[in-house]
Amino acid sequence: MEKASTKRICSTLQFLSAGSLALLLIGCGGGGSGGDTSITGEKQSIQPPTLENTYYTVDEGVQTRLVGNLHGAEIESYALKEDIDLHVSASPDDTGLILKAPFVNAPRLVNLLVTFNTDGATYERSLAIQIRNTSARELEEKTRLIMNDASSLLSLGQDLTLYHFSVDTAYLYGLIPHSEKLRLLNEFSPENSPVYSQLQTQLDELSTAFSEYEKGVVADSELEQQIDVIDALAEEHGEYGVQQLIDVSDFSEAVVPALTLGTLKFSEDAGFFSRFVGTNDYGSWQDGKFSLNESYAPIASLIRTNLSQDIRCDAF
Amino acid sequence: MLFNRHSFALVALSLTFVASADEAPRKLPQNSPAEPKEESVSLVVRYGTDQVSAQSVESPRQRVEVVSIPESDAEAYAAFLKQNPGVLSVEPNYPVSNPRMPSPPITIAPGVTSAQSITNAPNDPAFIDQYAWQPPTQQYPGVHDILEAAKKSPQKRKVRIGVTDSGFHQVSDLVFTGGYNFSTIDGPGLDFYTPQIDPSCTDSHGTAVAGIIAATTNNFEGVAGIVDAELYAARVMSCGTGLLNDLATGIYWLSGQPTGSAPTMSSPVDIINVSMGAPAPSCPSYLQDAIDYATSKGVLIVAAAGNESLDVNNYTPANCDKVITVGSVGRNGTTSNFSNYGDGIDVAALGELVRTLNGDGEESYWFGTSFAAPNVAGVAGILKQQAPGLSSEQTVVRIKESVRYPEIFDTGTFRGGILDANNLVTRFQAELEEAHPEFKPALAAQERCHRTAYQNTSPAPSELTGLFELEADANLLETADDYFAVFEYTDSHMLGDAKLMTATRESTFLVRQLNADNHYVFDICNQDGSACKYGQSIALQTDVKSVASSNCEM
Repeated sequence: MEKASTKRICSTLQFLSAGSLALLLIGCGGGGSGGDTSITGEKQSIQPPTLENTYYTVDEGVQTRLVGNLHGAEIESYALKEDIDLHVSASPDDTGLILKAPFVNAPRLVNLLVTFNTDGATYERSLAIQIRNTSARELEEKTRLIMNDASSLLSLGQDLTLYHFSVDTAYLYGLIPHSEKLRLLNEFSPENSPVYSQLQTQLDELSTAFSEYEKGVVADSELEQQIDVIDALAEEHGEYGVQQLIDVSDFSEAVVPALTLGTLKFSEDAGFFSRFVGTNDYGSWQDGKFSLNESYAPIASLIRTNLSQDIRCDAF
Repeated sequence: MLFNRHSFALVALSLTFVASADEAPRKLPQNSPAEPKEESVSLVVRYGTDQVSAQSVESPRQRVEVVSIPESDAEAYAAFLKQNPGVLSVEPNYPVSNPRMPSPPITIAPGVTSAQSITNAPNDPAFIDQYAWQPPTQQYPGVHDILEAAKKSPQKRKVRIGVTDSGFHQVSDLVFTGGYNFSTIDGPGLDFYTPQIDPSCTDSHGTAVAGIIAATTNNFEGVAGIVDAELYAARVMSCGTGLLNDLATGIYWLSGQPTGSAPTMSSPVDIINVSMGAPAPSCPSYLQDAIDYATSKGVLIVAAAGNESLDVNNYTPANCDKVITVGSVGRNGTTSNFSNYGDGIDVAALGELVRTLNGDGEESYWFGTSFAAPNVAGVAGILKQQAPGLSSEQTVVRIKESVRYPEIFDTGTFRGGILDANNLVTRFQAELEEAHPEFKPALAAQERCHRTAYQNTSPAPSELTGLFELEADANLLETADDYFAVFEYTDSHMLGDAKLMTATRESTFLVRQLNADNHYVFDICNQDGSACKYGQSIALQTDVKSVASSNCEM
């Protein structure tokens, strides 16, 4: 509060109504108009305070300046509908407001009503402040990636692609007729994985939880717990895909080395669940890019090594 | 029928008639002038092995011989022959003739009405009077809509059509690619035109029959032939009469079987028109053998029902198995009163006022089932142009299924309805469209968008170019004998033998090592590639440009 000398912060808490859970924080400025939030005595020669926006996004635990021109007005009071420890003061050079958001465990949207006073006239400015849970940014990103890739995880898209390729090459080389190819393709059914239903439920719950988290209802710790469960289930789910590939390895290993190494887990580097990019069996990370070993290069297009790569053939 | 006393009498009577016309078979044993004259009968003896008796007078092919024997000895001799376990049958060599014509031909020059009033009509002057080509109307439902069918035909190639008859003449509007005289009355020999053999004979039956089928079209002359064909004349009678075994010989020859001195055909014809016959209670086995051989070679035999107003089951070869028997109708759709009738009539065609050529090349109107049959033969030719490999059985089925039964048509007289060429071709083309499979380079399939991976891992990447995948409708396999088949032709006109590349009951399958210079067709056949439903007429495109149409490589 650089203009502390001209302003007094009132810490009195007043309930707006008996039944309301919302709290009103009232700051009392030098005009002594108390809780009066109406505009009074505005004179034509006086310029009202202005702010560039009515919606701001700020990081938790960080002081942020909301740009504007107060035209010498003082903050008479400010009020928040939400129970949160948000501090507001006028910028010392009159160029806006200084806002310091508290640390949060989920994104919070708060509604701020600031009352200004200048030469006996009062002005109200209503602002919406989105406080980011900056410390959980990686968790949020991982959650989004998992949700966006949920269908691929459930369908074991990577193993399915390799399985199709293995069976199809056997068909193309005349080892099996088309009817046998169809039979084998039908064998790959991730729904038969013992944890498929659990995983599906967990992914659905994660989606719901993330929606609640974004509303500030669910804490980031809850997301973390759910993702831990998904990680464990994914690993078990991945074993089903490996077993299917083992079943057709006679076909696949005729053309490429083993495709059944590694366990299915989320790669922080790649941003998706994979048995391939998380182990050196298939290649290695160099300069932020996963390079396949030479022996897997012939089927490079079939192995997902980056987030934007779509290995499905129905993608176009 | 194998043999009975009645048959001997019939044969003897016929030979008497033949002898009175100074047309006795050259190779029949001649009676000595000093001895009392006794009629001979001609018998056809079939052997189960290569045995042929020393008395054989003519042996046009293995296992059959024709013997001539005095009538009084015939029954005993037949009994004697049958004691030989190698003898399968002894049957009369029936006298045969063109069906008796209900009315003599009428020669009238074409009228002044121009055929050009019909859209895209042939310019042949008498075309306007070729009623069979016209579309059916309420007044004239007995016609065949041939012009519309001909317009729809892709005319991939000339069909090859044989005509067994006599009365062949050289006229400018009709070209025979080849012919031979098989008549044992005045043959055999290379000359088959009537004036070369018997200038006194005025018969031009074979010319009229052949003209309906394949007179030169669009040459401002004469009549239009139904189909562009290579015509082969098998002269199996002498001036309209002959012996049934000579017809069998002609059928064998036209089917590509070596027959004595006649130069063997390079390949069987597609269709044989038989506008001749003999009263006989059943089809003699030696004739049925010839027909069976022909059909085994894919040859369709079209037989005139005959003009005796009798049940066609008593007229041969109309009563033989595997032929399509044609009765006669008029333009108005009523059955012709002269036509043989009955359940044995497979299809009815115009047999009255049929405009064609006579021996002088003049446009004339002809009457009889002899001239109904070539309408069917010609229309079958249009179908065979599209589908050269269509079996005779498949051709017959399609002709029968496409007929019309106008209200006036008497289904109690004929079993089969009226030939409808347009319906036949339209239905067949619809069938082809329905049966046409998906066919594309294997790597063009969307599910193989990772083409580089396939190429990188293939033991023979270059072979992937010639690897095609075919996807057919599994419902097309109607019986356990049906297989999806792909054939390869090295000839751009798709002539000659096609090589069977694949036969499978898998509805999706691969065809390997396709050569862009060759031609490929799809069909549904027996496992050995025989009896194909669509006559190997479903062409497969082998344009490999589509390979690059889709890609999901990253």
